[in-house]
Amino acid sequence: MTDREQYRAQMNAVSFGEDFRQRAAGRMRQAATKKETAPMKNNKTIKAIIAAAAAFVLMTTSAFAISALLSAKDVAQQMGDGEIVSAFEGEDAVSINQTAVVGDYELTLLGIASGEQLDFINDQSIENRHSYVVLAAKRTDGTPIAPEDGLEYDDTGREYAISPLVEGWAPHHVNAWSLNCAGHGITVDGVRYYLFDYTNLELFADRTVYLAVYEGLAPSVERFTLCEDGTITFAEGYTGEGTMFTLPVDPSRADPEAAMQLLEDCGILGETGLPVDDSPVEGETVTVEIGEDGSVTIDGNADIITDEFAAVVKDEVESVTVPTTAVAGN
Amino acid sequence: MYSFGTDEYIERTVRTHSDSMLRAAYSVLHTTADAEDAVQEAFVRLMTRAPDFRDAGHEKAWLLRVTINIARNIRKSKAREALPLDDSMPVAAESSEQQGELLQLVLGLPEKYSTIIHLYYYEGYSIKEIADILRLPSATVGTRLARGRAALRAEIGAQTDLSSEGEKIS
Repeated sequence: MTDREQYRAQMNAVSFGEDFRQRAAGRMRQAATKKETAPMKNNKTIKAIIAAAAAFVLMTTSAFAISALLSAKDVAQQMGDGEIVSAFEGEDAVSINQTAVVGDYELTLLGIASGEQLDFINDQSIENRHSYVVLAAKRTDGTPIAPEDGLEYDDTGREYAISPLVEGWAPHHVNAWSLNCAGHGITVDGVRYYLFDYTNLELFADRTVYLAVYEGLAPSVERFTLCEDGTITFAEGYTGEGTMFTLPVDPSRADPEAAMQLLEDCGILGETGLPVDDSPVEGETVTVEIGEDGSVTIDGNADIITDEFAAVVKDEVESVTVPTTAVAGN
Repeated sequence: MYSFGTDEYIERTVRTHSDSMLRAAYSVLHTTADAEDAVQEAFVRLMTRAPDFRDAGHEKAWLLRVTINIARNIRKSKAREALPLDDSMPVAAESSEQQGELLQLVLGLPEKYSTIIHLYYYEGYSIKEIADILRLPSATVGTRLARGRAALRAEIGAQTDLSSEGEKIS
């Protein structure tokens, strides 16, 4: 018996309650019933929000007339996520509307909001809090963006990445990957909208939190520099297009201890509380092999997010040797 | 496809996804009672959030992701309750009689490895699919899978050395 078969057999041998399905179905029916009987409270809330929104629109009519972009909340509605819509309706949501030109695109940072994911198991909800950021991209020449195109890849062959970065933390340590980014994009009337869902960015609110848009994939040292004072800039040798927005996160929600725990949980920090030194030894090579069964064999210290490593996984190259000269270090 | 929220939908969803969700939760929590709590909570969230699924695969991936997240939260809570000053306490497992040896070894790994090993070996997901479920980069999933397997091999090798009968665990 192979290890896989043995594992499956042993896991299948674990027995759960005979009435589990019945209990689960019962709870689902209760939840469905609660949802149906909650509308009165929701309607009052919605009416108040509509009134406030109407007042806001009246005050900003001139700005609204100039910009035909969807709002952050509209984008969430288009994507059909009720929870994120609620987040952008909440009082913590921030409408930003900050614009920058990157290459052939005009980018507008539309808004940021945070949302609590419902947690009935315990009251510790900080780890369930997510940050949602909405960005719009349109071409500077006014031509509509096709649904299959966007910042991630367009017909010029350029690829842009979008990542939050945090003051004081090396970009290759704290970024969209370590912050568990889930990104969604839709195209409406030739404008590409992105909604990013990150692990709670507010934890880092005692520092500057950026949203960087840059060419390439990994936020490596070739693209970014962590200055001595903690600020992050594009690297001196970086010649690609890019911009960095500053995200208006609420400093009162900063939680440095929780931030450190988050980084430890995702392997950025080691037992000493310092970033894990993932730089390979000079002269060392990293060999990655992908077997026919999709298994990955990695020699050397390969927990390094580099373009070459990403290409191995993305393009399913069978084997590649990554020389240390090509690897991003500290 | 049954309409969302109907009895038929609920019955179909529980019947289709319970087993996978329970075992994914078990891989994190190590007890059937906690796993059942986590999965029930995941089903409740399904009903309250009513997400729009593209297809059956998307539905399953969403349910597994939510289940694993809830299970992780339960695990953290239990660790805090057990030793308020030390949250590195592992979650108590059920008796080893209920767990085969290989399963015990996998559950004994750091959770960031055991969850990926479970999704890879039990569910048969690819690295890219696991990356999507756990919202991790594919490279990170690949690394953790490799390191988890290496840790397992080391553990199996150590147990083989210690075994008086020299019986190989395979």
